[in-house]
Amino acid sequence: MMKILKGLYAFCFVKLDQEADCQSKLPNEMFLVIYRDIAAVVSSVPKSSWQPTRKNIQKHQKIISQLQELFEILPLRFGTVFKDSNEVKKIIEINYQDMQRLLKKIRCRVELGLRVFWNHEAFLEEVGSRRIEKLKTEYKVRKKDRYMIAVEAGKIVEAKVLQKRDEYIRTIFKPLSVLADDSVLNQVAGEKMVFNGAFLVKKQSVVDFDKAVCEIMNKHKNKFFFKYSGPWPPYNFVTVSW
Amino acid sequence: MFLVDDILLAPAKALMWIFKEIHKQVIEEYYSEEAIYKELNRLQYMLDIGEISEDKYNRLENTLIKRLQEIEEANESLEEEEWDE
Repeated sequence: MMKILKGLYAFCFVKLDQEADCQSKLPNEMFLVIYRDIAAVVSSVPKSSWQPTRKNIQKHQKIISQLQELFEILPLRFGTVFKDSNEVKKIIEINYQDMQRLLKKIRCRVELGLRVFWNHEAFLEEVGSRRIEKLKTEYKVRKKDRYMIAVEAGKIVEAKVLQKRDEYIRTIFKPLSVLADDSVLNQVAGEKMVFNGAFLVKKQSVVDFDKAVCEIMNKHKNKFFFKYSGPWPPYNFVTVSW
Repeated sequence: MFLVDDILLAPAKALMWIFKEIHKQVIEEYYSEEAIYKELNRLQYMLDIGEISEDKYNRLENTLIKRLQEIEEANESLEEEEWDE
C-alpha cells in the first residue's frame, strides 16, 4: 500500500506572464506546478504545518498577501493539499475556463471583512421580551419540568435573533454591498454575531468603502462592536471546486 | 428461556441500548473532523466577544488540534488495514 504522508500544500493559483521570472520571485521552499498560463504555487511541507491553528492560518494569509504583491492570484483557503503535481495539473485543466473568469473578476480588487456583534446589554435589550422575563421567573420558582421552560425560552430567543439579524442585514449589510462589486454572508459563529460579511472592492474604492463602514460604526457604536479587517486576497470570491 | 429472559430484562435492555446509543453519539462527535472545525470557529467567536482570554483560547485550541491529530492517525491506520486485507 502507498500511504500519502506528504502532499503538496497549495497557497494560490497565479496567472503566468513570464514563467521563468515568476519562479525566481518565489521563496525557496515554494515552486510552481504549471498548466498552460496558470500555475499553482505549492510547497512540499510536513503534515504538522497543515494543522488549522491560528498561527498556521496567519502564516498562510501572510504568504498569500506577499504573493499578491507580485502576481495576479486566485487565493486558496488554508489547508488545501493536493496529492501530487499531476493532480494539480488536472485540476487546473478541468477548471481552466472558470479560473480565467475568476482572475478577471478579482483583478485589481481586494476583500474586506466585516463582522458585527451585539454587545451584551444591547443583546439582552433587543432579544429579550416580556415572555422571556416571565419564563425566567417561572424557571427559578419551578422544581419540576424546568427543561421544557428552558427549551421554550431558547426557541423565543432564536426566533428573535433571526428576525433582528434580517433587519440589520437589510439596513447595514445591503447598503455596503451596493458599494462593492460582490459580497457574501458567511455563517455566523454564535448567537451574539449579527452577521459575518465579506466584500469584494476595487482597490481604488477602498477609501470610500472605509468611510462608509466608519459611518455605520459610529451610528451603531452603542449597540454593536465591529471587527473590520483587510484588505485580504479575495478568498471568499474564489469558488473553484474539485 | 430466551423469551422469558427478554421479557424480564426488557426495561434494563432498553436502558442499556440508550446508553450505548449515547456513547456511540459521543464517540462519533469526538472523532468528527467537522465538529472540531466548528468548535475552532466557535473558539474564535468566543475570543472575539471577550468570553475567553488569549491563554484559554490557546489551551483549548491545542486540545482540539490534538484530537484532530488522533483522528488523522486513526484514519491512516484504518487505510493501512484496508490495504493490508
